[in-house]
Amino acid sequence: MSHFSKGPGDAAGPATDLILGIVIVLFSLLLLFWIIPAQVNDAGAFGLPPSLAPRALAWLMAGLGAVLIAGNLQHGGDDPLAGKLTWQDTGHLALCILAVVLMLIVMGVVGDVIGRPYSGFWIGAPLGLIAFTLIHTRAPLWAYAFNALAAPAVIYAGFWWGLELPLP
Amino acid sequence: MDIIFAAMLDALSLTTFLSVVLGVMIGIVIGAVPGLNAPMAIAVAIPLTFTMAPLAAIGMLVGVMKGGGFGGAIGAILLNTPGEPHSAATTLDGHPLARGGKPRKALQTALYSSVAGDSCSDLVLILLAPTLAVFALRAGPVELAAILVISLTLIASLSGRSLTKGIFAAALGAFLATVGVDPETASPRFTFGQVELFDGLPLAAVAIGVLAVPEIILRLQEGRRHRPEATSVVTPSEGDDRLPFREFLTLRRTVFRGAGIGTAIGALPGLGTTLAAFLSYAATKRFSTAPEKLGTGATEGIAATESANSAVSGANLIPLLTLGIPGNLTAALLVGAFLIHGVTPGPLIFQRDTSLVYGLFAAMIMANVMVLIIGSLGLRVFALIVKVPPFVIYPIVLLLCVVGIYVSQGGFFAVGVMLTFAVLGFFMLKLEISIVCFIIGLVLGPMIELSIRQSVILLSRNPAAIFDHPFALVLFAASPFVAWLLIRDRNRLSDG
Repeated sequence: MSHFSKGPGDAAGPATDLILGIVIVLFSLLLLFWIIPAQVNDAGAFGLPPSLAPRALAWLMAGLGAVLIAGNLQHGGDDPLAGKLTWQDTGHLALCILAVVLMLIVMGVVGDVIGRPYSGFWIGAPLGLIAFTLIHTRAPLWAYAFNALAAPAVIYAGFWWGLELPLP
Repeated sequence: MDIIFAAMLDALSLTTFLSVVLGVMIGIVIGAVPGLNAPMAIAVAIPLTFTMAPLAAIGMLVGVMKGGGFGGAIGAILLNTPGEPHSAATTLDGHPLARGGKPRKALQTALYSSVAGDSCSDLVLILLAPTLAVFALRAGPVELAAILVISLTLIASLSGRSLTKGIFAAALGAFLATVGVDPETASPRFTFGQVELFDGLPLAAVAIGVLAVPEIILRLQEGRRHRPEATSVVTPSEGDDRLPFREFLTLRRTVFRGAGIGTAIGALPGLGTTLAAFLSYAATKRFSTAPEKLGTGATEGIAATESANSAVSGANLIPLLTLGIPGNLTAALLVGAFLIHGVTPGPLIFQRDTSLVYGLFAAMIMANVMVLIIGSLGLRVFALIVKVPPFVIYPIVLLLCVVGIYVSQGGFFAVGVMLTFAVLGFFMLKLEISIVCFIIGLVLGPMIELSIRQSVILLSRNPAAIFDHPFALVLFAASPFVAWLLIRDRNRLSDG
């Protein structure tokens, strides 16, 4: 009972594991016919070539992808062993990754502009924590204050004085 | 003998002692948080160890492992929310006992049983591993390849509901392990011109990316739905009950049985803590004088599961230290930590890093004592952790992951790798592709490739020479039978 778009508000889509199988097969073919030849040099190898293990594993993955496709088709897209993935899941993942990337960009830019040690962390981390808290839930105001002020201070102290590791 | 004694003294140094204490506290705290568990705690703690000496670093991670084992029981008992599958067995009696007005007794039973089980398996490890390593040193590449094949067959039992996806996960992990310089020809593979990739993918970034970050992203998505209802949380302050030591002694048979089951299962790669916990629970029910009490809040039930699942952690280091084969996720993460500190787990560790390995043994015993002391003293405090709202915990843990990888791996490249693998891990989690198999494939990949390549070179001129390796032949022949047994019973054996 798994469809890529089975979340509330989504239109029905094709079976997740069918897509997964197709993606695995395409990825394996990409590895076999493009990435492995371009990225592994077999010249001068003694014994077995360096590309043997990657090739063997790529063929194995292609075979497993085919098995997933066949299994899914056999169950008519209603495979009980299939996972569940919705468009909301993908959107949420994108939102979280975007928040982390933006936090890192802010850290980098602020650090460059101000030019003071750890200034990037002091500006970026509270903003990042507020964003993560906002993504999680509508938390009470004290939670935002705690996450934005106390948590970065504790992390800073722990890394800098406790572990003597410089922060971004 | 002098080296062993010196190593033990080294483990008692202030730095190592404080590292172990810190590790135990991190393990208990993270393990107690609903939704987080011991392997995640280790993954998050690995970057913190980068500037430490190898013994202090490994000691801290061992502390996290042992602390996390007990921490998982806190959530299971007080909140009825197991952080890991094996803690589900603890909830059977732990939560009813806590709800019945004896939360402290439930937690103390879990703590004492956990420490006792762990200590027993550590003792077996300390006595057995050096001897086994001597035998393992006699094994050549052919024997090693055979051991790896049968280990992988056992590890396949961790593949979750779909065997196909489990094998795919392990294959993908092994494939990604080929990134970096080829060990035989020294030619770069899949480095895309990036110097940072010449040493392979940064294991800590990959482990945190695929293991911790997706779980936190998932928890962020669940939002308030995952917040425990106030009525279901029990705190030790509600009851003024204690577990007298004399009463705990009456559980000694249950504890030793659990420790024996856990040690035996932990010594075999792949079988895992869940099987140990439930087998011990079933055995206790069978031999108990009052089996009808189990499941209603019997201390016997808690002792059975906690002693067994804790015993697995020590025993899991037997295949790790003697053969270099991680038997579960925690052991795989420890391999990563060993490699980061320039130590290669395997039989040679007893020759090359004697002081480290015996120091590790001492640190393990020390960690058990610390779990007992810190756990006993801070029982009320640690029990409060389950009440900390998730909107405070998860954002902070996510920031810790990012900052930890940045500072330990030296920049944004590793953070990029972590985020890439976080995306992969999230899809794997949602699509029920085993992350455990992926990590173990990633860790074992180079070893498998090297041993197979060496075996082929050895046997290429005379394939009949395989008959000169009877041990390897037996293992190769047994592998299909073991595979058949595991496929038949996989649902029961699986950790996922």
